[in-house]
Amino acid sequence: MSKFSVLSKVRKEFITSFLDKGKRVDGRDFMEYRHIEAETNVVENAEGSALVRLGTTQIIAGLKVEIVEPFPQEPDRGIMITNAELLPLASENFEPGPPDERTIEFARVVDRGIRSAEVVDLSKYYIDEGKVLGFFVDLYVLDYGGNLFDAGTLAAALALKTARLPKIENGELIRGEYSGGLDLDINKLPTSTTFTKIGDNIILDPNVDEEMAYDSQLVVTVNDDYVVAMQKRGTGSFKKSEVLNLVDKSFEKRKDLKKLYG
Amino acid sequence: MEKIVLPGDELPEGVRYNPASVRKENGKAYATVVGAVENNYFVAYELAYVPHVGMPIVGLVYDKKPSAYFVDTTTAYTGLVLTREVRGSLDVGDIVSAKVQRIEGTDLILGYPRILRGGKLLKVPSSKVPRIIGKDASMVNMIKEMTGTSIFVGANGYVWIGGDNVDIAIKAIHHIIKRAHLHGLTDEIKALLIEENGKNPATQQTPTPEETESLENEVE
Amino acid sequence: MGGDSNIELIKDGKRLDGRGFDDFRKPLTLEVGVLQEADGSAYIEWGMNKILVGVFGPKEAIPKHLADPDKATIRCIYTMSTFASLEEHGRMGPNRRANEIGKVVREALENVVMVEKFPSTIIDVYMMVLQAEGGTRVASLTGAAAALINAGIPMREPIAGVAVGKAGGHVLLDIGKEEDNYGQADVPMAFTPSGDIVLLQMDGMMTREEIAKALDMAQEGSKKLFDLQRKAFEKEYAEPLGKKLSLKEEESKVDIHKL
Repeated sequence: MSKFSVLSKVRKEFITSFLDKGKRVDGRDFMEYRHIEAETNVVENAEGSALVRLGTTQIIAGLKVEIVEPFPQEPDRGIMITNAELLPLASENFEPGPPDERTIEFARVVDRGIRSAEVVDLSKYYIDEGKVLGFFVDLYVLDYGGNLFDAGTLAAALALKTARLPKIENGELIRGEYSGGLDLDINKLPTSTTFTKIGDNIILDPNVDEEMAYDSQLVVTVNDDYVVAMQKRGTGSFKKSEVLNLVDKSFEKRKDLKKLYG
Repeated sequence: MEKIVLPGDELPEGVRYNPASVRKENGKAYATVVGAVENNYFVAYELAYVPHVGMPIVGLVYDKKPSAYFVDTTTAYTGLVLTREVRGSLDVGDIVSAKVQRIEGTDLILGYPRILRGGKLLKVPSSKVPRIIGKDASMVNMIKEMTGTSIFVGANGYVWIGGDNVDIAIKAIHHIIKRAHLHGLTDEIKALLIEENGKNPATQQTPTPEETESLENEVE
Repeated sequence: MGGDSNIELIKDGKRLDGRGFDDFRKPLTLEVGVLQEADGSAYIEWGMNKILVGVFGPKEAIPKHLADPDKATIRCIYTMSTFASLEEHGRMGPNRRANEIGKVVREALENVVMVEKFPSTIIDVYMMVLQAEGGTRVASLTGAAAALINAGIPMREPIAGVAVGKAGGHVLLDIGKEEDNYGQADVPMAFTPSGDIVLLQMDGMMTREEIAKALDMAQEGSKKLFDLQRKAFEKEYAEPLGKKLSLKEEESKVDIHKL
């Protein structure tokens, strides 16, 4: 057995001993979030940016806007891509180097939530033949305290929500001069809720220790009307009834999370 | 608050210190880490773990080979308990307390191993360990007495806590870590323990003599 | 470095942004202990530069071949966010410039970190430039020294750095982006308090006399930076530990528990 797996096992026993008594290591209820804070427009050079703190997790999102070629299959629509990096300064378990599978999973799940919620109407950003606006949202995990997905979705959504669009003259961007924002509909902006199953217990918003001990995880991303992304993670499983329950829970928790959008 | 001392600052003559936090040059002592002089002693506020012989260690057995058990110490150093030192055997996942007998590169050869059964293993910054122990073990003894737990503090930064009121003891230790550099810490912890005991009346136990004895050995 | 240009970098004895020749940009702030998981951390704002540094270690050398039986191995990685500059969307991942900066900062730190105390281990220093406005290597280095102290890694002395440049015919402390783009020289330097030069690079054209002046100016400047580092630690220990990063004070903070 590797050192890491023994440590995870001991950690899991520790966490489980609390959960079996109906408690969590940090004293929270099973369906309670940690303290959440957001600061927006924190990087002036970005067209939009947000720093989100969820417990001890800290994630920064930045938006850059470019004039790019459209995707060939959608020549009259702008493009949007969400990317992420788990910076090695955020955790001793993050290594420098090309993105690994968990980084890619994180970026793709956040990307799906934003995209499926149809937050940005990309058809508005056609400029000229072969020229559309590209929106690049990049997430950097600065401090890893568990639950990247919920913090990441909030950060990405806030960066878009508070974005300023550069002026466009003769098909060129004028950097540093802006012409309004994206006018996003808050009701459409997604919120993500991450549920973690340890043994038979299901808890919301895992901290770093709880995340190290999990059997399975269900990320549910919703907006006011729809479920817009889901991701089951880990080697364990969920029952149908559990999934539906958690979807209900996600809509319920959205009411609080949405307040961060203003 | 005391004046902050930074690496490179000369310490006043006569001030005592932990050699790991100071360098000497031409008979003068210079701090190598951040800290402050309190009661004529240079207290390092942050200090990366530096092992030395005789140091108490708490660790987690994570592997066994024919000649030795491998012990995680949550530092750059791996603890080794030689199989011939152990009566019976250790299992992967066991928590042990032991003392550093020899240092070979990043291997710490550990002696006098002893299994700590049940209980919780807590990770703390090694630089806060002296505060958790307190002067003449006053802090850790107070927590033990007021919560009825037994506690082993490894200099490496693992703390093992056993007994019924482990949660309260953990809370107290987390509080010490955050406020290690502030004054009146003992009174603060005492107040916290009284308050927590009020919420959940503790069975006031005294640690067994054996545990008290082994802890005293741990205090430098 | 554009050499001669039509942009007037010096007017009435003042620089474009109104600074005197030996003034630092504003703001110039440093905080330590802003990250929970890292063993040591620092956040520096310097002009529009916003840089976060995290330190891990001394830790086990993995892979083993990195272990030096005589001392700790320092690894320094410099990264810039894709949205750090006002211009185009940057690329993720390392590049030649970042590699070189990692190397010169590491070599500067090796002068003062007491690596001999931790044989066969690794010390990782990660510098993340969230926003850039020129002079990021010396700002990163100044933050890295503070993050190492915050991690409790023994050092003989701190180090701190500043870039001196030549623009509009004058030698100027802490050159900004425009002064760098349109000026005649850029000289990033780092010092110890006892006056050792631990980082020195130069690009452009300067006379021997101008170099002498630049060295003096940077050393004077480094004193202000050592003050900045000291103040950061005074602030850190004036209150309970465990604070978080804040890039902007009191801006749109929402507390779920207070709703």
